[in-house]
Amino acid sequence: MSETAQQVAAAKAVPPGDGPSGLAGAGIAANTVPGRTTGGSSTRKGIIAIIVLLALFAVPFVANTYVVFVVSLTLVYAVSTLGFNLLVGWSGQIGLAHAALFAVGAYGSAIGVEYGIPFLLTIPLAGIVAAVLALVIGFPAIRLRGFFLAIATLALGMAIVELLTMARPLTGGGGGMSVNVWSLPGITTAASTYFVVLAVAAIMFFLMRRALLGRFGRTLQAVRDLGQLTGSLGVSALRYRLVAFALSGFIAAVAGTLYGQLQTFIFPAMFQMNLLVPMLVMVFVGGAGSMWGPVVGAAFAIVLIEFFQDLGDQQAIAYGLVLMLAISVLPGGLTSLARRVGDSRFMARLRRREVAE
Amino acid sequence: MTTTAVATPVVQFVDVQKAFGGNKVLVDVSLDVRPGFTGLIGPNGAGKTTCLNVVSGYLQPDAGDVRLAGQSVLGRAPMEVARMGVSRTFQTPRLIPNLSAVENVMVGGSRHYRHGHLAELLGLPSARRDERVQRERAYALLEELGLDHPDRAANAFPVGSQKIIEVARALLNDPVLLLLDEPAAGLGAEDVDRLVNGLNAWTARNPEAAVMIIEHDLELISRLCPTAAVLHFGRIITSGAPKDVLRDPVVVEAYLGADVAAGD
Repeated sequence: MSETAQQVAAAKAVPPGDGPSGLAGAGIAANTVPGRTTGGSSTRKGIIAIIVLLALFAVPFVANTYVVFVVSLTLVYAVSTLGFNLLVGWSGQIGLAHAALFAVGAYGSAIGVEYGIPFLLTIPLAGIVAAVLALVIGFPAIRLRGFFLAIATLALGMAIVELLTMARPLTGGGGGMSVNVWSLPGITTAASTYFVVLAVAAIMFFLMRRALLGRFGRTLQAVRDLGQLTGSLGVSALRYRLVAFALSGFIAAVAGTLYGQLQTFIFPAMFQMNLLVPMLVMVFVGGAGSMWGPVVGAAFAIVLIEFFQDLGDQQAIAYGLVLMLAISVLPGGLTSLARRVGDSRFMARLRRREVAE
Repeated sequence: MTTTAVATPVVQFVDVQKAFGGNKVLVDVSLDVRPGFTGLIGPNGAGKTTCLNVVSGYLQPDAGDVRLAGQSVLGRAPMEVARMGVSRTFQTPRLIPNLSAVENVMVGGSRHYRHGHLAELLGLPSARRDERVQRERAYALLEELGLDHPDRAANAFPVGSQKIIEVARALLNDPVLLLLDEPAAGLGAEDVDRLVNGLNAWTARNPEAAVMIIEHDLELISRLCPTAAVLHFGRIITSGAPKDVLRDPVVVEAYLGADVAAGD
């Protein structure tokens, strides 16, 4: 016992770049990653982020109510997809309770407000409730794979929506309930909701980007690609799968609270297959496991929703077809297109020509 | 087998038995693995990988004990064993295909991260420092093992280089016991040299650590390992200096017999 402890201590005591590895340490400088560790690039990314945020901030001042609503909805879907993509794309689990957890957010917030909780406070609270629910769903589900996981989570998700329907005194049952819309003083309700949505989206993407591009995201991907073999790396695959469920549920509900504010009236039928399938479209069209795929996927889906509006019950079929097409034609999603174009022979030839000149 | 302890064994196999159904894979394995390199050789199907799986917690033996620095690893999950300082590689490299080589290596540093994920989420200085230190250590290890382009995606590397990345990932945890399952299979001569140099440099810095190598490339075993144990039909039939072991008529027979039977 003490032997191991000593060895562990000895191993830990060796500082990086010490002794023989000093020569290796010299190599580090030459190997610095462009775009990851260099200061210049991260400042550039920061500037781009600020410009995008400022442009988004300006939308209510320059655009009409309809555009503001559409952009709000896109952002809400983007946040929701951020959570769904975390589960499906990053952790590799096809859990299909996302629409139901999104509903928990919408209903949780609306009910909370009726009971006198300030709306802004219901955002994290509904998120926590959904995270706990997601843990309950995830606890049996993380031991299942692929098809079985999908079916189990789909069933549990449907059960949640069914429960919301049955809790008539709280939720108004199948007829739905209206949502008290929170509003900042001095501006229109649409603009006010928009700013809340924008702020929440910015915070969620900022935080998740940091986690997903860091150790958390790496470990999730290891769990996805290596499965139980991550045990040999000192990582519990089951624990990470469970955390992915909880976090994804939290984000789903946060997006759901905002969705309720946008729709102003919610009913259970909004959160069934007719929402789940477009949610999957958003993940896969954007690019499963990509950082900005959720934004691209949500924007794509908004256009699609507009197109398919008149199809009525056939909408689900149309979304299904789009989903099949997206997965078979472009498995990496739209965000992988940029990389593909960059890697293509045409671009390589262009680069060569530039070098030659 | 030596009875006088030259150095305390890092890992001890004590009468380990393991059967899959009626197939006895490990009949009776007793082996002390001391700091430095130890080769584990033997014909296909002798039970070499099963030995590694038993030490690393992926398989529980039917009888016997496996002790890491005196402490039994039985009943512990692979994660716990890894946290005790056992790192391993796999016969076919298992990496995250779309992540860069260096980030794949960083996945192996679980024992060194002191910050939680919340600290990372909030961008606390401790988390940033941890992350930076791990990245630098990962670069240094890949450099030491002679891997060029550490920022290239893992799936852009040939299998040989992927194995090197896997070794670096296993080393990032500063293991007390490193288990390498056929590290040289699929490697070119140049890559083998880099692997040997890298491993030698690492053990020079970590003289307390033991490295167990399963390998069919007997030249690699001769170059690295002062001792090699020969496993045949689930038993250690002999162990000693590689050049003596390989001349042992029992070993020659085991290998030739198996080779003829396997047809390669």
